[in-house]
Amino acid sequence: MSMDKKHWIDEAMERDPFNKGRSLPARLRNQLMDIPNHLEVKAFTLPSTHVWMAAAGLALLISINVFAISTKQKNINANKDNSIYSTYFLPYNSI
Amino acid sequence: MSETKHIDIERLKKGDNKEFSLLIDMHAEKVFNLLRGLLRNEMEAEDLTQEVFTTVFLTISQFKGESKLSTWIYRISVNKFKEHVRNRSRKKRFGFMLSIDNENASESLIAASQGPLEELENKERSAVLFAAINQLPEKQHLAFTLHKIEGISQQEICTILNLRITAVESLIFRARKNLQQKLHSYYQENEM
Repeated sequence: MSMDKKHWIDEAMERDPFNKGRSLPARLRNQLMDIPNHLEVKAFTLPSTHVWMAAAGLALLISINVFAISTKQKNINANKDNSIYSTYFLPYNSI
Repeated sequence: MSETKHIDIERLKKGDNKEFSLLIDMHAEKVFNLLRGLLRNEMEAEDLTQEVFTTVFLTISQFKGESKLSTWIYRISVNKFKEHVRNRSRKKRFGFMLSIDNENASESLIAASQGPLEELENKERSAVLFAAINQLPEKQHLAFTLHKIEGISQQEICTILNLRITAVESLIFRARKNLQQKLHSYYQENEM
């Protein structure tokens, strides 16, 4: 075994099996070739019923919010004190 | 840019399967061997090669053609490797030691023509050298491996690692010096 100090690293690297180029394993090649199909399938696997259910859920949430706000507004208007004393105790009126 | 003559980037960006197959035929082996050299583990290299090409497929629209396609793919590979090493060291901190050497794979790779003694010597040398390379700072490790194992030009390494040419030259030089220092005692023991 030659142990020339200057070339030891190069020599060891050349002999290292992991540094020798190896052809691509067939199984890995097939897996790589399958990447576009695999990703496309994933993109289309979301069922349309789920999409519609999510949309319906959102619409329901929005309508509940709108209903709640309008009811609250109606209550505020209904409970408004319209008597002559209504402005008597207003904080911004000077005594 | 000889490789881009064959690969139609625009069609690739549109998700053309034929172009993607061509891309794999042209670059997958290089990526796999680079990751094998860096990780020294067949299974991890295979997994990471898959991750690299999934990223390539998903982000090809971001490729602007400012560098060679191979350089862009190498850059993704190096980033994946860094990410993988970070995850591995995080796992190690939590007590999950992972094997970084695949004995069976390395055995099968050693040429059949070599005698058992030479085979053993090569294996030992290779393990000692890898341990020393693995101890190098990350940038030195990457620059040295890309240059030595893959034979990638220093100019291309600049683009892959986003460094200046002088920095790359210095990294390779320092990596070599560090390796010589680290391997000094081993060299003295085995000197004939």
